[in-house]
Amino acid sequence: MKKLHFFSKHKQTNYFHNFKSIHTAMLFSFSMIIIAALMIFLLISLNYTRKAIIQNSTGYTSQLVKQVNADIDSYIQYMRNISMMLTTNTDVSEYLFTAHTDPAEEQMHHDAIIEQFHTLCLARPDICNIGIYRSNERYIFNYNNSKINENINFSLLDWYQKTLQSQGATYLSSSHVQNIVDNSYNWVITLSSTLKNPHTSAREGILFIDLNYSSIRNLCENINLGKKGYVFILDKNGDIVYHPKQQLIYSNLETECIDEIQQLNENNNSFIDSDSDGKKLYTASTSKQTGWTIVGVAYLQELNLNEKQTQILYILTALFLFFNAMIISNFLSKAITQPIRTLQNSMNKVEKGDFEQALVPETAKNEIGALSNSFNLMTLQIQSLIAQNIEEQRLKRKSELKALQSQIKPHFLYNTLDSIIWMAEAEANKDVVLMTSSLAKLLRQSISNDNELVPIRGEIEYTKSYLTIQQMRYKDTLDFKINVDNEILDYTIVKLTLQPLVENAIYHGIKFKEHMGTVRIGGSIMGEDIIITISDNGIGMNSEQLKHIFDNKHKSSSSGVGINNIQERLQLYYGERYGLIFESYENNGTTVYVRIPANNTETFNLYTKEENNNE
Amino acid sequence: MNKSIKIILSVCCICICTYFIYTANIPKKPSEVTIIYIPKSQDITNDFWTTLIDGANMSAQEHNLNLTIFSPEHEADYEEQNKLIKKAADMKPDALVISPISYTESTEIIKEIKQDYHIPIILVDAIISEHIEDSLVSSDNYSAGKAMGEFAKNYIDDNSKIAIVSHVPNTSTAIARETGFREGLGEHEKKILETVYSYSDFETAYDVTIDLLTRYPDLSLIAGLNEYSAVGAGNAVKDLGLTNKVKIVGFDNSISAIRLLEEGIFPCIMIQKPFNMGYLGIEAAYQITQGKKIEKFIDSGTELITREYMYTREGQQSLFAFLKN
Repeated sequence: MKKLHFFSKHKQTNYFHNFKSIHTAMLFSFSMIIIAALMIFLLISLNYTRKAIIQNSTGYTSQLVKQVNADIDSYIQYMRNISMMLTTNTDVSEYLFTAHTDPAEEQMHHDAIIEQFHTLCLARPDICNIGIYRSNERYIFNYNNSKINENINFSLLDWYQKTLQSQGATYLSSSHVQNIVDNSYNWVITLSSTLKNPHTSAREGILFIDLNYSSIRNLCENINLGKKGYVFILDKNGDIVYHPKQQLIYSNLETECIDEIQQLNENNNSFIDSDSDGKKLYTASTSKQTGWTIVGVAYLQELNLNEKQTQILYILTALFLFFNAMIISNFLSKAITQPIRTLQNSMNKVEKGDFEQALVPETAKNEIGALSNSFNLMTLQIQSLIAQNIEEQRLKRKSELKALQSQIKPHFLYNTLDSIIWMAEAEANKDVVLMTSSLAKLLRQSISNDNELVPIRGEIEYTKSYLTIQQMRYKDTLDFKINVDNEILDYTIVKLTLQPLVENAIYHGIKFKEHMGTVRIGGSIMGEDIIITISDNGIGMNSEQLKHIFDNKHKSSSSGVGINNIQERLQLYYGERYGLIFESYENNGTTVYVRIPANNTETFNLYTKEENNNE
Repeated sequence: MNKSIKIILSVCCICICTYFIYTANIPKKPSEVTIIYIPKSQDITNDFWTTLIDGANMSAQEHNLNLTIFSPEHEADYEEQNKLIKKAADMKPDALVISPISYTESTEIIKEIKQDYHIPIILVDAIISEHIEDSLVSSDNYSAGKAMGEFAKNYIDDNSKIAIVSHVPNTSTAIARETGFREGLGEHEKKILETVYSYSDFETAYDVTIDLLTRYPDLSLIAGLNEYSAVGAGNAVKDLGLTNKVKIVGFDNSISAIRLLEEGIFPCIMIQKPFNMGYLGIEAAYQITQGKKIEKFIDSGTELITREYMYTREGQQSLFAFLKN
């Protein structure tokens, strides 16, 4: 169970991983949920509408069928009344039951009955046969002297037997072929009652009225059950009394589901049956008076003419809702994922080191808001950590520099003082004075200013003092020329930049030269930068040496201030694009270009400010 | 964004497809179809043909078809019928329904029409010498004859003499019924003395029966193989006052036949279902025009009606189905 759970969870994760963005995943999920909901809604409402229509139709048809039932009841009642009228007719009983001696009297009764039958048949075209019968010798059928069918045994007729059994009540037969009238075979419904012999009080005669289907057909066709809908009538036994397609039914070319109709009752008076013509709604109503069941058949297709319109309306509504829902969910999922995307963009910026624009604006108070906050805090912290790191590096360099500055002095001092002693012993007073004053200048400059940055003027002076001392020491081998534009002298430069380079030029370039070596210092403004050149005509460097010029181990032996140290400091203060550029040809001397910004007041200020802060 | 548009579009497609699938199962309305029916005759005194045509009309009405009926004046006039067949084919109906008079004489023209006009042919009641029809709707005449023969055995003893009054020689129905009847009689078959023909005419049937009874005074059973033959023979027997001596097993339903059945001259009649025949014939033609496959032979049914059975509810429905109410 646990494993299964894990598995499904794993699978689910995979499913969402298939999408490239959360937005798409959300949109897809939303659309699936919306479709499912709409489909369910659509099915339920269509189903419900259909049910409602069927219910309405059932109500409507059952009302119609009840109406037909009532009409047929009253029609049969009317015919019963006619039959009642005839049973009490004295002419009838006189003619049938009284043995007349006078043929004229008998003929009179006969004519009166014929007259009455004639009137009735003319008034009611739905009366097919009307007749009274006592025996094969004494009967009157219709008004046109119809004869009895001699081949028929009257007493074996089903409706005749039933009438005799019904004890004076009117008997209503089902549909049958009336064969008692000679040479006439018609499908009729027979209404019959017994006639009482007034002399014996026995029921010895019978009166019958055969009804053709014209009236019943009219009553059944009078109601509107759609173009194809129809009404038919069943008797108590489930036999068909009337059907508009009677011939088809009798020929077994069509059938009606009579078993199902017979199971219907007053509360449940309808059902739906489907055949090749479509679904048919059967509604039944049983008459207590006749015992007949009137069945209305309506075609659902005709009843539900507007069902299609309803369907289209529902589907269009569903589509409309779906579109709106999709637009809204698109908007919503975008709104939800927007902060995540902002966060992602910021992270990308952080990855590229762009901390300045990485901060996420705080918008939401939810999880993503918290995430953004944490991200902002983290970014700020990283930023300050990096700044701190840079500062620490700088301080480290500075302290290193300071240590170096203080280191160079004693060895150089000793050499210089040694030179002075030597010169004093040689009584070269002028030289002693010059050297001592240069040394004094050098010392004063190095101790007087704690600032990292000094004016170029000072740096040049310092270098000049150094060069003066060195020139006096190596009288025949070193010469120097300083030719710096006046306009650059007031700009600042990182302290102790030029002197170590000059020292380098002397110890690595000129020292190994056999003849006089010259150090030239130049300086000018080029655009926004200041370029100071220190060139010597010493032994120079090959390209291999030039390549490793910034390596750490390459140190000036006397000062201990490496080229790379100078380069680092310059770049630390001014930025990557500033620093040293070496140009050297073997046996042809070396030139160092020192490139610093001409506009360095600000940098100076920043520097001093930061230094103050650190203190 | 592109992806979401795709999703929305595909979802819409699904919805539209679902709708079309949902609405696709509504049946097509049958187009206006023209069918021509050529019966053997349209004699209003002949209940068989009037009922058959009623059935045809009923079927046309049910399906709302255009049905035209051309019929020869007399049931034996195959030449006129052939002319009518040609005339009908020239009108290019969607289907042609024919009840051929002659087994042999109409084969050629029907074959021609089938080849040249490509009109589906449905035969009703009778067949032609070659099986070129798309479908045949008729009674199973052989089985009906056989059942009649088997029933007739009840009225046969060792001394019985039997005669057959058939309708038209060489008609498919006459051949099938007579063969069936002889088969149904079994060993009594040899008691058949003669087969005579009425040529589907009451008077001829009457005359040949009188002639038969004159020649064979001890005749005890006559089989009438269609309405004209049976009723004509029945009337002859009745008129000669031989009602109790000669029994007739009849074929086909009519008021006259029913009266003879009531009178006991006919102990039974074998009825066909002409209404069904006409109805199913037009139905088959309609189905063919709708491109549906139909059976090669459609049995319209026969039923043996005895005197005792005729006024039961089922008997009434079978026997009097042709009556309009």
